[in-house]
Amino acid sequence: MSTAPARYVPATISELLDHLELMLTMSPTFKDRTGYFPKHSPDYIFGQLYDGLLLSKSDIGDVRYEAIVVLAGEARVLFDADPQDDNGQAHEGRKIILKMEDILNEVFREHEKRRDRKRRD
Amino acid sequence: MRRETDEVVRGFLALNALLREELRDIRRLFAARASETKYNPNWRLQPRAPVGTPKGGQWINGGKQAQQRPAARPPQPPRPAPAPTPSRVPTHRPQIAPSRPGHIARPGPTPDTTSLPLRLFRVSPLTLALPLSGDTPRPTVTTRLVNGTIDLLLVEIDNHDGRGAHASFQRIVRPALRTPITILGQETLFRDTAPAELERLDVGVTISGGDVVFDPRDLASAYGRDLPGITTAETPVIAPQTAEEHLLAHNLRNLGADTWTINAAIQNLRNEQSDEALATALRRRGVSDANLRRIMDALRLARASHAPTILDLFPEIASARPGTIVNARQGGIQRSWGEVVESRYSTRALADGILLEIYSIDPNYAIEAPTDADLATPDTRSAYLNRLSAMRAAVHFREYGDVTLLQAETALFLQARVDQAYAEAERLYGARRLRVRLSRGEAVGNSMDRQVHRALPEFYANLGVDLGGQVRVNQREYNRSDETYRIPDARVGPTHIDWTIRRKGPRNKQIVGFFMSDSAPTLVLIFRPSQLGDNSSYAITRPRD
Repeated sequence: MSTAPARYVPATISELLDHLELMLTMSPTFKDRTGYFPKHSPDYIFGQLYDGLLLSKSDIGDVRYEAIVVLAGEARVLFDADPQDDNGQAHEGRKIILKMEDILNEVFREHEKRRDRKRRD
Repeated sequence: MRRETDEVVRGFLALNALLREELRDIRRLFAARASETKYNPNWRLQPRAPVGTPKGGQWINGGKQAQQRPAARPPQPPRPAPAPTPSRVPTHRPQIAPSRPGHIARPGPTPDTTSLPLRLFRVSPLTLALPLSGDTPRPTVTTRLVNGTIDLLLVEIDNHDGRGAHASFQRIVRPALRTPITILGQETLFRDTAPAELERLDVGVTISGGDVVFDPRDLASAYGRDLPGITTAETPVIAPQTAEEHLLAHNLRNLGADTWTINAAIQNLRNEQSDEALATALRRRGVSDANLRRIMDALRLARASHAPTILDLFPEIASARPGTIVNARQGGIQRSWGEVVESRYSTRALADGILLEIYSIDPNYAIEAPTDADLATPDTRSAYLNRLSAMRAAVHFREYGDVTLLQAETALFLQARVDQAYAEAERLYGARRLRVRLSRGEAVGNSMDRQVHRALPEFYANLGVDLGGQVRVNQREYNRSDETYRIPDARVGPTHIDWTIRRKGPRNKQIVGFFMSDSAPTLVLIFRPSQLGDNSSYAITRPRD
């Protein structure tokens, strides 16, 4: 049996929020300096985001899912246009990441509320 | 529905077109190869003008005069190799007998080539995709893994055209990968195997009867290192088992050490004997002071390359009182590969050692040979060795359930990641680009916490370590006695892990809660950014119950 390592995909809302934090801090190049993640690149990190969003689509809901995907596309364009982080576009891209974070935080809070209600019942 | 069906059909058509294209390429390659070998099956062995000369790369001394390989090799540093066995490592180049044009006699084992029995090469499970059909005779491809390597193959292709088999040494650049088939953007349960990517080494090789004939120096030079028993005559009686033993044997062979010395050094390393024990034994055998110094340097280098444990990172744990803070070793929780990464050659030697160790434990573990980028600079070489070392720890854990190495590798990774996360968060805070709710400390601390929470599961996923059980990230640790729980950032075996900016001592409520949990950790490791000063990260030993 092959024991090939798996590609990490954020599987919960909480993990997606952590992923957005990584995108916020590592943008615009997403290059890892520890040397442990040589594959990290904009394509790789955005790929993980899209796959993670797809996994949690039922929790997020169709409308919010579409909104986040559109925002992610916009952020990607801005990061690509400012790889040196010196013309302000990467900064605009980070603002979009914060908007995505707000949407997922809303989902997270709803999720928590539902869980609490279930426990009380 | 109809649109989806159309897309599936279009997908299959595209796949079919790709396969046909690939088939055409393969046929073209075989045709080219057949025309190359039609008149001169041994064209690879013929002399060419050296690179840099006006006719660089072209055949020289052609016609009736020629058919002789250049006798002179480019100047090379002297290699004090162990005394060769005459039958295996002869001393001069192959002499190919003059012959009529269009016919060259097959070279037999000549003084400068090695002839090894074919049975020394294990038949490898790797298969090459050759989707030929119709009237095209299906070639037989046999791949054999070269002993002492995990990425070097002897590939033999027989086209059944009466001209015999063609052989070559090929390096696995990327192993065969099994990936899920995606249809309409969705991964399916079906898997497709992408064949391994191979790189042909420029080494003339022929298979004569049951023997493989090639120049061992060409193979060592093209592969990047000597292969005991293949390119050099001797192999140590004691087979190296760990990466550091491989490195030691490799370096001692390069120094020209004899089998006795290599064995004694490996035993010394394995049994954790003192340097003096080996030095005394070597002096008794009349080894000169200069050579003795070199041998002891090789031994120290191998010791420095050994797989660390938590006790190496926190040496005072062994003598620490219960419930106390233990600082990390001098220099902090980081690894320096030192001299090993000064050259590609020594990096490869250690890397091959680690790869062999991994391979011997789990032959199916998917590992990649180093790329040029991995070996480009000392930093990239260090990063590559760090990843390999983590893989070795993962394999020990997966196959033996032993978390010892994984604990240390996790600690080394976490310290590096915590430092990077803190630096990134500080940078964004300084540029007023971090969301602040309460204070700078809260903003930077939260950002660091989440970045590391994001990174650790990916670290384990890349190693093929499943979370749950012995290795956990951000999961509850229950205390059934009072029906409470704590959530440490991570747990590896009997060690709970927390990363934070704030210093937490043994009496901290959270730390006490960790020790009270049912998993009863023996240690709690606290990781804080190195930027916060010396002894920023530390261990807390389990208090008396």
